[in-house]
Amino acid sequence: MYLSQVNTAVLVGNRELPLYIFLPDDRRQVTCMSLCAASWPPVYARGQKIAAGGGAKASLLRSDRDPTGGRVVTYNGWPLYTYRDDTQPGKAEGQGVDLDGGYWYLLRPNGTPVVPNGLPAPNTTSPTTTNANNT
Amino acid sequence: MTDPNVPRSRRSQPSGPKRLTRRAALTAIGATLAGGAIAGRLGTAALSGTVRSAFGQRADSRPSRAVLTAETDTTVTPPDTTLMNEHGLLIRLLLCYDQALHSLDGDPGTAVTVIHETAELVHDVIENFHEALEEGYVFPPLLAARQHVATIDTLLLQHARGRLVTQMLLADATTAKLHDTSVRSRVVDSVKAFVRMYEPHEAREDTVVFPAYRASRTSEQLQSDGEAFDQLATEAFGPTPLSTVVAQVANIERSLGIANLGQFTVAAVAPVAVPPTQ
Repeated sequence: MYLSQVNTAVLVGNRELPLYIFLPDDRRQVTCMSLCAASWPPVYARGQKIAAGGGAKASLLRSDRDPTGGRVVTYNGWPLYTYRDDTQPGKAEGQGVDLDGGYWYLLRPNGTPVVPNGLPAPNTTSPTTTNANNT
Repeated sequence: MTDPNVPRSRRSQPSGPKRLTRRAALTAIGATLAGGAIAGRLGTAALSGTVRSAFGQRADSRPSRAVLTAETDTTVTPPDTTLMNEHGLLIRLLLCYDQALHSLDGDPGTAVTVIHETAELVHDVIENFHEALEEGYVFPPLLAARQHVATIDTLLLQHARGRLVTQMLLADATTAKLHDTSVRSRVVDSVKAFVRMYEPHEAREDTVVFPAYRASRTSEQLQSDGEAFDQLATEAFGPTPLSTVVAQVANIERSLGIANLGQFTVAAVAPVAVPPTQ
């Protein structure tokens, strides 16, 4: 899928590759580890540029402890990941994919996931503030 | 995927390089994975169990020699052999897809069930596991060395597209939905496209990418990767991962009537004289 087909601005990282959230993270914690992280490398809090056409909000950026080590960048509480299969800027092959135990979505600059029709949406009872692990 | 608890004499043997010996430490595991974050988790687990707890009874079966022969007694299946075993599973799953399409008119109930069950195994074994091994262990060192970059980009894209096809099949391959001719056409076309894509995909990996991966790794790195593959497979599918999944595939084959290998043997043809070459 081309990013232009998403019809909304979304977060991208280094090399203009899109950033994703993992639904099971539920805005609470990093749950994609081990082989999951092989396909979905987390965005670690070191040297990563986050941008959304100039619309990204620094106030929504935090980081969360990765249980396997390091800290993962979060945006509005969502840990951020890249997708190994995205090899070209402007494409988002992982949007709406059900893999490694849950769905993967792009994220808008306002911090809400881009959920395709018919796919599960985030739990609306998720905390609206960042949890204690976020810094 | 191999069965760490199956005696080594029963495992497939690589014809080329000698089998690897297992060492206790897995310090290199995950070195190619994102951020090194995976290394800590796997390394800790494997180190705490060393050879015995993580990989079963082998060392215990010969306790008097265990200490002295720990390295030579406890071999690891080379990681590329593991990957090719999994490709064997994939070939069998593709055959199930193909046969299900042939059965769709005559026995639609079985065909739909088979397509769904096959898609589940493709999702769990191939996409969630096997392709993650490739994406985490095999492709990164080659990309770092700028080897086969275009090929790997294509393979990655095919992984992504295949996952979307599987997701669609899991949603649409139901008896009720296939009454809709447009859904049925989409399912049939997608299964055909999936099979068509993965045959050259895995052939290219077996003949180009995996040999390059093997050549790019030191013996210690291959050893660590093999250790990691065994452990991850055990965590994902139990103590005999290959046998477990093969049994599931065989069940699908039985339901389609293609479980007997002999039925694929070509009929005898009369010898034909070959004209002499000039």
